[in-house]
Amino acid sequence: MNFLTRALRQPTGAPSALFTALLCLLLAHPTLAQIGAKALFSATREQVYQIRVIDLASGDKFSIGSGFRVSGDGRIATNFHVVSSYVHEPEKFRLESVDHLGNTLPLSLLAIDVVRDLALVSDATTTASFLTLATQELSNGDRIYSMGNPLDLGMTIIEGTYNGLVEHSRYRNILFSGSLNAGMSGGPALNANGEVIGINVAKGGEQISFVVPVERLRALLEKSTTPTPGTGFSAEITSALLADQQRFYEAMLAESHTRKRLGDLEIAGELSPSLRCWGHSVDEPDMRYEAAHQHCTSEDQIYVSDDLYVGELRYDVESLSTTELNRFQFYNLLEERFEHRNFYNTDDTEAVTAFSCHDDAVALNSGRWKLSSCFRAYTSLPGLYDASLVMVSLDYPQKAAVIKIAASGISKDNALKLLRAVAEAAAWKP
Amino acid sequence: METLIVQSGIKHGRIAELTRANGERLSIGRSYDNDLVLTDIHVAPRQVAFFRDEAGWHMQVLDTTNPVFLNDRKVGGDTTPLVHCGDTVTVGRTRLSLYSAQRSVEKTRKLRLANWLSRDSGNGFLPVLVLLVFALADFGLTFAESSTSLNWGEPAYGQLMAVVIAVLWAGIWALVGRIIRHQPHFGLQLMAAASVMLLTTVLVLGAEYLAYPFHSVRVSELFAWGASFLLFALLFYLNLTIATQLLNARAVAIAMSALIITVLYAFTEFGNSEDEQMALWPEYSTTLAPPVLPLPRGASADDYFARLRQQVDTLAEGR
Repeated sequence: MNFLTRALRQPTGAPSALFTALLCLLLAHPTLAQIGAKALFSATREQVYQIRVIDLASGDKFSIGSGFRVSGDGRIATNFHVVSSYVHEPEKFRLESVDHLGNTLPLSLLAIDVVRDLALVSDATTTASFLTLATQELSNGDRIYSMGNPLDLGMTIIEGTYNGLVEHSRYRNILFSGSLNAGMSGGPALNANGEVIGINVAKGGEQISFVVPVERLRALLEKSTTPTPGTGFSAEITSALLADQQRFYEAMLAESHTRKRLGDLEIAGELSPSLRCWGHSVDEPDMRYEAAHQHCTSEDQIYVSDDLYVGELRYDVESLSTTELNRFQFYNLLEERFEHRNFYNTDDTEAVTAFSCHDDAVALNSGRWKLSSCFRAYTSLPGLYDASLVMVSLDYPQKAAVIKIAASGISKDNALKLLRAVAEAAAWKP
Repeated sequence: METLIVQSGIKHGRIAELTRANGERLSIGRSYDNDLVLTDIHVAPRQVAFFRDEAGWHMQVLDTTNPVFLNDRKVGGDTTPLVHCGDTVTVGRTRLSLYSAQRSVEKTRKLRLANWLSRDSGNGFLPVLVLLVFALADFGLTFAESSTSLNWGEPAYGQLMAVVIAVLWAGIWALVGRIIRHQPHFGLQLMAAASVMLLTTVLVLGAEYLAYPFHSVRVSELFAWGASFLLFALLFYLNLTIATQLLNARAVAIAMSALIITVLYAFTEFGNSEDEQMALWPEYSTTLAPPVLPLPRGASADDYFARLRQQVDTLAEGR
């Protein structure tokens, strides 16, 4: 307010500049911006639904999410994870939608894209009004809106900022600086014109949310132009995951990777641009050894069911050396580090087999290493495995390296290639 | 039965009181004109008399204030049952055994650890030395082997606890010995505990390195359980031999050790609440190439990955 009165008392001569400044100020004001959200909300709320998975035995809702109408022939888009319990156990659940007035309609499942967490359901009603998919590109900083039913509290609109596509990720989702909440999954992300730019999918942290770009939805819609409600979805999940890992690892293994120096060790650097790498070194005064550490992880997790995620890739290298520790002490230091990376992608002992490991000393070009490789298979996804390698060099009593690679949801062939490529990439450079 | 002998109490491996019948009659009671005088206040001044006729020795109860039992059967004042070699008589709080002078005795048993058992009293030097050797060896190994920073406290604390446990253990068995044989043999018990602990230190090292040639933690685990069983059995055997007169100390020691190992195994294997989650973790050999052992030549990468592929194939089949 101070600023306004002072500005108005300014001598005439720059009235247009003053007006522009005022206009900018007003537009940036939250109450004014909300008019956009308000209009959007009333214009689109009829097309946004709560999607419910109903437990047949109790008749109550088992899980909820959001969805929105994307065509005149009854198709509603949502997330795969919203309807996944129905996909896995269609005999135990049914699907229904609830519109803004509280009317419910039964839904059938049309198509899924498990890799990008999308699903199409249908309520089989013909209507002229549905949300249109945006075609124009957004630029960073554009205001975008997201609708959904957070925590079953009622239909909500939130606004935030478009911040481009997520970097260092296998599946480049839109980074939405706004606060999505549980239950908003599957709801639409809209531009200022009320066109769909993506589908709400996940929350990364305070004011960090992720939205699947609308192109993926468009592809899924094209795939489902001939609505064929089916039940063969579990085979489709497996083949989609197999195809996705094939694309990813084929590209990764074909590429020649930059070399990276870590102590006396040269290794394959960042295996994939989708990995996020961190480094640190240990040289505290009371520690009698030096260590340089690089750890890379992909934060891409594909939701398969509440108890199973796949798609993780971790790559860890630690180079250690000492002048003070004796052989035994250094050896124990290494032994402590000779640990497989834990997989936290499932808690369900039924979902995976027990690990089967093969441990041996192996003579590589870079010298002798102890290798331990462990595999486990998924009980419901034939052909996909969790694979982990940990290896430590044996040749030198005062320097050593520990290399770890772990991939979840990978085919046998790709896993063996990946493990071998990583094992053979290491080289000592004195 | 030629001559009747009444025996009461055993102390320090000797019979405390042995009363031999002089002639045809033997009387027992609290008054001083008896052949065997008992100080038990529950015993009458003239309690029991034994007399001989053609059939043999008979017992007669002279006072019925408290019941008198012959081999746990009550004897009334009006009967005079025959007594035999090996019978026991109970009256008041006193228990007596009856023998014949012709009774044959058990053949002399060989005393194990006889030199030690006879030399024990007052000689505390050797046990303390063994305990010290154990503590220093264990500390030295732990420190030299695994300390990555100059931290003396942690391993030293471990050894201190081990020494305290050894002393307590020996103390408990000394008490057992004091009760059963009236000789505590604390020094000897301490040496037994310390020697077994020293042996444990060495075997633990072996168990860790055993995984190396086999590339299997299972081998290590089996070895560790087997070694624990033998060590416990040895410890119990020594403890029992020193503290008791058990005829079959070896069998008892093995049984006790088996019981302890079974309970421990069941506890670690089934009592772990995280067991369910443990199934989700890989089990693999963590032993690399221990410094004391020669480096392996190493399989070729082709061989290693071919074998790994085979293993994954069987995994897929078993799915």
